[in-house]
Amino acid sequence: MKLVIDTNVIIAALSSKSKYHWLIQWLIEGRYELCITEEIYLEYEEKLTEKYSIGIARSFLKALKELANVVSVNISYNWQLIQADPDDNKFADCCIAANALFLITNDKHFRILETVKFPKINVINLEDFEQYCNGGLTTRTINKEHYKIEVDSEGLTIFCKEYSSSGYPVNKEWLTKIDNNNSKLSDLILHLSEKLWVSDKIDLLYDIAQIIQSSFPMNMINWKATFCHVAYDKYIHYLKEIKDEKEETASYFDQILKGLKISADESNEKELFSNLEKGVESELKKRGII
Amino acid sequence: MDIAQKPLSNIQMELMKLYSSDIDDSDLLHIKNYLAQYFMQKAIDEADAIWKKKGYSDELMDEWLNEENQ
Repeated sequence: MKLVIDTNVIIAALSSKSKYHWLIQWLIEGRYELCITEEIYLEYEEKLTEKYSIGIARSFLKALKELANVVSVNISYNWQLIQADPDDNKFADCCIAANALFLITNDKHFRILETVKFPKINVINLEDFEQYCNGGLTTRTINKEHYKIEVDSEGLTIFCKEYSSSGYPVNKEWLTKIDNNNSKLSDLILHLSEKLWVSDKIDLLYDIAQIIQSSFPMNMINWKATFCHVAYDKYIHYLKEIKDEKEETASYFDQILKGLKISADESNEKELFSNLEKGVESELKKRGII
Repeated sequence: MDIAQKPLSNIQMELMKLYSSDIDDSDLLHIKNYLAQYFMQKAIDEADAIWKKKGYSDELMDEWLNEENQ
């Protein structure tokens, strides 16, 4: 998630005593990308010096220069969208050039941007941004014949029915709780590969992708990307497992593509999707379906 | 009077001595991260001290946040 952050917001969040300090911690933890231009850099320096000290300003800027998630942006065009305070335009221009998701500011001058239809800039204040990041997770359930997925504040839980070797469901439900832990996620999907029929596996991955997209907060974007990679690996595997008749095969392949598209869009993993698209196409050709 | 600038800063000199040959990209990333953490922590600690000394508070931060940029 790329962000542009107004100077006053940085000033308010810098001290660990501030209620807004989470924003700086998230920066250190790499939870978002901070986009800055040379002009923004200079304003940070000037205002931090004014409100704190020159030493603090310099240390902060040195940290920005070294952080891997700070993106240096070159401005190629000045849009001059804010007339009331032309100094604010550097933030709007940076947002457009970097294609950032949000401009975080509490300054009322930026409200004019809400009325500008193109280029669209999402202005959000600090409180709303925190709520946006933390408040996305809501309780949801998807119930299917062979599995159930639940999302709550603790994470994602998947219940699957276990099958005997002869194909009948064993009347024992098992559950795995996954959280922001990557190895657990891979393990879970591996387990599912053993327990479900191929059509159910494909449906399950599709449903997980959907529930993640609609329920998980923005700050779990890395987790979403991990899911996308795991899903891709599994889909590649399932492509070869599908042995059904022609019509059904095409619909499974269609479902696989839809499933990965959802998670790929959400986590900016478009390359994975196009690779899978090519894989599906060649598999369909091999089977004489297209 | 302008202060004459040396060709290299003390840290540039030190890094040149230390890394006269190539290092792994992953090592470089780690070193950059250590530097970032060090400087950020320094800024945060010193900002904490200023909060204490000048009596800064969350209320004052809200006031600054909601005032228009000058």
